Amino acid sequence: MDVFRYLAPESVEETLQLLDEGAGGVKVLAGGTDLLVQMKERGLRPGLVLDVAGLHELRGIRMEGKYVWIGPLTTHWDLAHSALIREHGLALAQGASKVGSPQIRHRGTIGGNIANASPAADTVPPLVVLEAEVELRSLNGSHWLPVESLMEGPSRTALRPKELITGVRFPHRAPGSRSQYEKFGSRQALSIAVASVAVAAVQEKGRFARVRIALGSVSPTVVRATRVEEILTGEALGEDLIAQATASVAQQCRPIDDVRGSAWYRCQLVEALLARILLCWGEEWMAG
Amino acid sequence: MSLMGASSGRQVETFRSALVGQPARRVDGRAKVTGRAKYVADVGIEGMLYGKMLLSPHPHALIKGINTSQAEELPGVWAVLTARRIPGENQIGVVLPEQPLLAREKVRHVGDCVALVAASSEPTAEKALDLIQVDYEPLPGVYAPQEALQEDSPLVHRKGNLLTHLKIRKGDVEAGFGESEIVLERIYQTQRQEHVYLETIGTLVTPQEDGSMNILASIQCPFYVQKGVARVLGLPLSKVRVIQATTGGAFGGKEDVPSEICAFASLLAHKTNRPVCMILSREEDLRRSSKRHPMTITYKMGATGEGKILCAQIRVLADIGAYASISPVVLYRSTVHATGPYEIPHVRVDTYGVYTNNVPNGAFRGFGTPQVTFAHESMVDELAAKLDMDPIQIRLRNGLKLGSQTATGQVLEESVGYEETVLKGMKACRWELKRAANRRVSPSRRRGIGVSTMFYGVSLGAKGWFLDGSAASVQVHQDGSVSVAIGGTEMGQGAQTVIAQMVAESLGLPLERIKILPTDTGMVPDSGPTVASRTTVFSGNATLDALQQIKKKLKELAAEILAISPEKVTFRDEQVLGGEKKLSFDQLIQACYQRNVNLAADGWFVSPPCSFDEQTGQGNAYYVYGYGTQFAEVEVDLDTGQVQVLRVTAAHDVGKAINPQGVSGQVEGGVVQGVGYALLEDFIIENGKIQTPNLATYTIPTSLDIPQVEVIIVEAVSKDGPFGAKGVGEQPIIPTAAAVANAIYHATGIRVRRLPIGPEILRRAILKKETGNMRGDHR
Ligand SMILES: Cc1cc2nc3c(=O)[nH]c(=O)nc-3n(C[C@H](O)[C@H](O)[C@H](O)COP(=O)(O)OP(=O)(O)OC[C@H]3O[C@@H](n4cnc5c(N)ncnc54)[C@H](O)[C@@H]3O)c2cc1C
Repeated sequence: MDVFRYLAPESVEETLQLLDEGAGGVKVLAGGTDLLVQMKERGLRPGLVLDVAGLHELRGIRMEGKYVWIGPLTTHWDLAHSALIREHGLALAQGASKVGSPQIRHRGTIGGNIANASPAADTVPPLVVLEAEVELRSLNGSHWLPVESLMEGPSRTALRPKELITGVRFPHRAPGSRSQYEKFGSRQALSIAVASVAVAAVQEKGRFARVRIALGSVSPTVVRATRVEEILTGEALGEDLIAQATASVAQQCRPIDDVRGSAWYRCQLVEALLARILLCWGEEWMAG
Repeated sequence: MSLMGASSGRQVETFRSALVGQPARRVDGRAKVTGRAKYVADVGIEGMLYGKMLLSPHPHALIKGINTSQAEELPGVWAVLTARRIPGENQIGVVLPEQPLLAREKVRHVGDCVALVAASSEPTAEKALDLIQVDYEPLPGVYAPQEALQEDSPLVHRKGNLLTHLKIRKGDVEAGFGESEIVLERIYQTQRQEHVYLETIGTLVTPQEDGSMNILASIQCPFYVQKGVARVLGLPLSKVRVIQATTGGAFGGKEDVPSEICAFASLLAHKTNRPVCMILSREEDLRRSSKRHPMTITYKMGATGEGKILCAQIRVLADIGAYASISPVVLYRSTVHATGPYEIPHVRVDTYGVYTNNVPNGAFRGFGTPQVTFAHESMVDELAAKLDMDPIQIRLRNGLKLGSQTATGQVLEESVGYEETVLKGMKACRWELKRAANRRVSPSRRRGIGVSTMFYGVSLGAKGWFLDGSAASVQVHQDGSVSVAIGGTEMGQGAQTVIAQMVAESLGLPLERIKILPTDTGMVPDSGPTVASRTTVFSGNATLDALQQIKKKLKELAAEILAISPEKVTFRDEQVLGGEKKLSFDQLIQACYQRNVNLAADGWFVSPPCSFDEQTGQGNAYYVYGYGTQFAEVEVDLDTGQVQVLRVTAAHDVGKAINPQGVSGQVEGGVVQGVGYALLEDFIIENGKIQTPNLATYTIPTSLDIPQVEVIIVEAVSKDGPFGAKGVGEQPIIPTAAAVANAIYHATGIRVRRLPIGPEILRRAILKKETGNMRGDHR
């Protein structure tokens, strides 16, 4: 690792100022679980590292109007254990609980997970199906952008170098809605998703009123499975529907072959994971 | 954990189990768990330099030139070395002189080192590496042993790609197949496995005023390092002193390669006359350290309709990698153990070790046995299935017993606990119940149970007999405390604790009075390597030999003081007893010191004789064997192909268990590493390039992936072991993979003949079977 400048700004304002001055050579440091690996092993050499860990206003989970608001510095550990998150966005709590190991979950943050934009990021498919947005702020002001539109490619986002993520939010759970996240990794912990699936749906009178499905690790970014969403919408869960849905999910993937799994296998996995979620819901719907 | 008493084999003297045979707290445990133990990286000396290696980017290339001038000019750089500047011999091969320490004319794998740098900081050393220009001319390489044996294949070394061919010829296999009512032929394949010890290889070398070198290192075999460094520096052995630092695991991976790393650091220390520290990063360690040999095993077995095995014809093809290192000895073990723990009249084994341009393979817990065990235990299971026999029955019918003859023609005269491990394990895991239970737990989940057995020759056997002596040095101090120097090393396996227990037992002292010193070549004669599950027996016997000499003097003086005959004197609970009379141990020691009685002694132990005929493969290959049986219970997710090992019942015959707690720890650890070998671990090299260069891509089981392990200790004591012990370090990893594969077969009806059984491979097989069965029946 090369020598670099390190500053720990004391306010969001100061951070934005420094980002503005530093142009491209500045990197924000949250938990450091991605950034430090990139600096030590992948030759990333920022001239200035801004440690934002002390900005307490960027931490926390609370109700804000019709949204659940999450500070970008909130750790995966806190997300996984938050009653509010479990109540309104179970899939997100599940995703956060499957990140790395307890050590990583205590350090890694949701903001870092989003900004790093890995197609395997465990909070991103849940955020996409929960219709989450991020607040991007710079000296010029701030705006909310859907997480889904933020992702442009592997490690590429619509986040500009001068912008800071200052909030994440998603709408309250509507009556009859639920969400679930399933991840497949080669082992039970410390594994990068070979494939993952998140589903959020609103059920009305035994039928899917609305449904969103996001797939991880099967395309350059987390992607929606819109075709499958269409198949499910308006229908009642049953064996045939599940078969139809799982049969068409692979068409929405553009996976790669690598040491973790072949493209073919990743498609097999999204089918299996989607089926797992729908079967589990199906049993519960039928039961009551 | 359940403890079973000694029963099979010859009964050795019965002894009072004050300490030996009882679970003992690790003597090195407290320092390790509190973080006070100092590993090499914790040491650091004022003014030391940092050493770094420049490794080849090519698996096979000629070196046309090396330009180091820019690197030398970088401020903070103290030395840049290449093969041209070696004071002694540029050679580090353990068995054969074919491994240059620094590559000079060509590189043969991506871990070959072409230059070394010493600098005042690690980043400076890294920068200097970037400034060294090496002009390579890439050569076509050879990456698979099958290809390497073809006539027009590129040559890794001038003498040809076949390193070794080992044989066993027993009986008449053709006749055996003729008599057989069933003959099966199968091919089994195993992968490269990496040790992933917690602490990477590292050393701190300090040059002394007289030009000698003091080496502190995380190693397994200090005497190998001593010889390696002396050879490279052109120093007499007396001027190279190697002290083992607290070592965070080894598993065989710190047997040969540390000699290279210590030689690198020593060269730099010699050149700069400054202490040099060299600690490999995890990525360097993965790239440079040895791996378990991948093997292709072609197995042909013939049996009667009742499941009596008549013959086995086995061809083992092993990828050695670019250098021989200790491969010939590894493959000797594969050869001797190729038939498994069975008595088979007709045997033919051909083992070929072949050079490739892959990272060299070497020692790894089990040393060539886990591969052949995966083959023989899968094969026997397949045979049982064909014959519609219970897998246990076929094993009991053919398993080794007292008086059996092994494939090398060795008649087993003592200490054969095989059957006992099968029977006790079978009962503990409730085999019959589990075999018959419903395998379907849900539409997409299946359960199964499988068994696998093994045997394992203790210590080095005929091929390493010349290295198989061991020393110890014991001293009783004036206050009645005892220090012991042994030639074997503690690398986490619990060696120090068992030696301390033996001393405590022998002198009737509490464990706290015994101090086992760090292993130091300056304090004990060359005791061979700490490998092959030999330390309990070899360092133990040497220690007992030294104690014998000291106790003789103690008894004589005690007899004089108590006015009884020396034979009547015993030691117990810090007392010296003689019939009705007694005195305290401390009083006796005081008396010895007042009379100038020397209470220090050196002990020595040499392996009982072993033999192996190179032409026929017949002889007493190892002096005694350990035996084991494991039962694995698995759950398979049919949709993803993922396997979870729920439970392993592991019964191991280790001779007398000096420290049952330690034995259990070794068995649990071996099973965990075995589960990784079965399902997850695969060090992938494609066209000579490493595809799994870090621990994100080379994955081992986490605490959430490991099964419940039940350990059953069987004690078929050995007459040559201290208190009847045989050794346990390696045995537990050996049978696990086949037990898992056999359980998967029981759960799904799918036989996978290739390790690791990753989810993708299994999912493919499941799908194939389902389509074969017309849409399958699992939903
Ligand atoms: C051993 C290990 C295992 C892992 N396992 C998983 C896993 O299972 N699943 C998974 O999804 N991830 C995993 N990760 C990746 C990582 O832990 C997560 O992506 C984590 O959420 C990153 O958060 P961080 O706070 O550590 O980010 P940092 O490393 O601090 O930052 C990451 C990136 O985000 C930027 N950034 C951070 N915060 C902000 C902000 N507020 N505004 C703008 N930019 C910002 C940084 O500049 C940097 O580019 C693992 C990492 C390691 C080391």
